[in-house]
Amino acid sequence: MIKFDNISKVYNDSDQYALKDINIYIKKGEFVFLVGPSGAGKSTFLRLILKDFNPTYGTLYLNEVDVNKLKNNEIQHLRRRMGVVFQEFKLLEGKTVFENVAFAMEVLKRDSKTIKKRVSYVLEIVGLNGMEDRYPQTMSGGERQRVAIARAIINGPEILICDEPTGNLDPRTSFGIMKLLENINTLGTTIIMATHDKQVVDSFNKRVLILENGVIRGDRQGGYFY
Amino acid sequence: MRTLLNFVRDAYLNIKRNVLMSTASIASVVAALIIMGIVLVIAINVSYIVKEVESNLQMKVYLNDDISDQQVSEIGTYIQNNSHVTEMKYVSKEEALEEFASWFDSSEEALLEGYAQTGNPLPRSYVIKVDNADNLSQVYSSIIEYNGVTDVVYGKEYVSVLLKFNNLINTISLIVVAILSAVSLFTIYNTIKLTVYARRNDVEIMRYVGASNSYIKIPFIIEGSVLGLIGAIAAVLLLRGGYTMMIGLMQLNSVLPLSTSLAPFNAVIYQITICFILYGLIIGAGGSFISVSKFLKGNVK
Repeated sequence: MIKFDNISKVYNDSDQYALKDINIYIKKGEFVFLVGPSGAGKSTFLRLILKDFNPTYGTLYLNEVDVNKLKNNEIQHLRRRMGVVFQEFKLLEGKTVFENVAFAMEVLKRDSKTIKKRVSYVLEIVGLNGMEDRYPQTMSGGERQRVAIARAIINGPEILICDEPTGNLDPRTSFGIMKLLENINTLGTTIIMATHDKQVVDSFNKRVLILENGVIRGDRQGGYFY
Repeated sequence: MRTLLNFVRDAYLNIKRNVLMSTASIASVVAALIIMGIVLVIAINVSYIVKEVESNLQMKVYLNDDISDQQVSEIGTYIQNNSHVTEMKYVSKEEALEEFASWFDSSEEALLEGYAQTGNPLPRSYVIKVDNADNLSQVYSSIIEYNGVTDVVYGKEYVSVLLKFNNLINTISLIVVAILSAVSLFTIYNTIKLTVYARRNDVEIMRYVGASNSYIKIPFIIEGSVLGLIGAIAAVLLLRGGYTMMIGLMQLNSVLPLSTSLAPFNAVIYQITICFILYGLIIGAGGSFISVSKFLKGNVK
């Protein structure tokens, strides 16, 4: 599904490797934790998958397609097969819960009947039914992250990229969010989640990739935080 | 259709949200357009005056007394064959004297009677009109050398000054329009740049859910166009008021020679309204397009 083939990344304004000689294969339907200290290269790893930029060396394959060679309009189609969840939620404050989630479908020009049906269904999955008309600023951190997850999965992505989704949440709320992500994963969505949360990683028996100074230091199924 | 309505709604909400920046942008467009409007009003009026003068410009071709009627008629045919000549009228010696006489009051009739006894000294002539003041000198050169023509008279210096002034005003107008266009474009560009920056989260989310670049750009372009359009309409209304006031003042003060030469109100305002609205839309859309394209390009590494 996702293959990092000898990938290295050096940013234009730096002479250091953000990632170096990464060779990783992630299967369809896997749940992978990406752990490591700040500056280890976790965000670079995720942004390569999102095609925010190309690797400096090596090739990234998604479903056996060389992502480096995609044209602009093909990148848009690639992103439509992914969902993204951020630590800081990135919700549109001027829009209601319904509008925030529906927005991701409107962008793809879905008709309003389909949008309404699908948003209600997804809000139920993330445990927010009845909150359609609330505004993000009136909600708790956990609820806001659920809105962000609803938005990320509304178009049925194959891959869900989560960048520290529990970083701003208390342990109990984090656990709820993790259970939700685990449920989404059991429905077939591949999840790659960067995290600093030792408790979360240790509690959920998943594959753990350990990154340090841009290099993979460990790759264990059912692993623990480093 | 629903998507278009969403775009318009988003543009409206953004203008409302960034009311200060939007007002600054509109004000800049209004200021630029008013200065431009004043220059255009002057240019339109100068060109109107030139056209008025052109349509009234007469050239008098005086003929030698010794030539025969047949030669007079040949000269007439020669003049008429010139493609720049639009009108031609023959003035006989008698008609010339009558016209000359009409300049004097009855007390000086004796003087004219004296002329009648000693013989009419006034020459035969052709009075012609030319299509364009630019062609006067060419028509002059072609006729003056013709056998039997003694002189050709027209307001040569006056026309030359008027044409030079008209060209100068047109050049100044073009320079002013170019400079003010750049200023307006830059202001709209900066407003939209701030708007895009304020909405970078929206843009980022749109990109991550796979929105096309055009989908991301359209609301900003609509927003810029609306700002440009509002600025243009405000400028037209202000200019309209100003021009009406000016015409009123000139009609009151009939001493001013320009009062009769101002271009009619409707002719000026329709031209300016159409120009300004197109200008506002193009500057607004253009500034936004450049701004949002640059932002999107800068965020894809």
